[in-house]
Amino acid sequence: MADKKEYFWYIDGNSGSFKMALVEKATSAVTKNGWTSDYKTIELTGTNNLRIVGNYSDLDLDLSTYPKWLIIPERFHKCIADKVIAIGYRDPRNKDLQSAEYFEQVYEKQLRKAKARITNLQGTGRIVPQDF
Amino acid sequence: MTAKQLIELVQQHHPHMGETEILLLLNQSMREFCEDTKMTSSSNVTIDTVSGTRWYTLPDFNTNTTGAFAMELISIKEVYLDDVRIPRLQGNPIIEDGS
Repeated sequence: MADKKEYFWYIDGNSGSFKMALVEKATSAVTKNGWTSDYKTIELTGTNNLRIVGNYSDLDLDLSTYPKWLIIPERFHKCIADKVIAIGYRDPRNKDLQSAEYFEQVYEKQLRKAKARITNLQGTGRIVPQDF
Repeated sequence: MTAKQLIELVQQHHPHMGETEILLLLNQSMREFCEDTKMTSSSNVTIDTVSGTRWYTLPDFNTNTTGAFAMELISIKEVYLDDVRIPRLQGNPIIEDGS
């Protein structure tokens, strides 16, 4: 029976890009300057043997190949345009802070609805404190 | 709504803004929206491992062969090594012995 190897991953990255480290548990296998670590670098070579399952945003829109978002429900598409309209009203070329504020509020309202929709779908609840 | 319709909506308020600028802002805002609401899709990336190499660069975007299909990585759900799910290490090891 093959030895059961324990592998772990962790992330480094405070900048925009991230790196993933892969280590194997091996008791007191690595020593340096009197320090000992129970984790050593993996000794595995393989093609496509590391599979990372991630949560991704929707597709980037363009005018030809991907003209529509696929993950975000249709009814929330307009609120993203509202956000862009708000950004536009903060631009010095067409500055109107009152309109910017208005469209940001419209966006925020829809954002709250979108968050509630996800919470409802996932079925997670929260405990609300009550004063008696 | 299509990209064209969304661009027209924005241009009703900002006729001086071009399609490229609006598309850029729409995509940036969309990523923020996905991150805030957790409206995301699950997708895989695969990477080759090399013995003695500890660090692997994570692609920020998932792209197709033409590079046109872009989705930003928002969070990591699971990691598999040789088809076995491996856990996340709590904290970082004190000694770095690999590259």
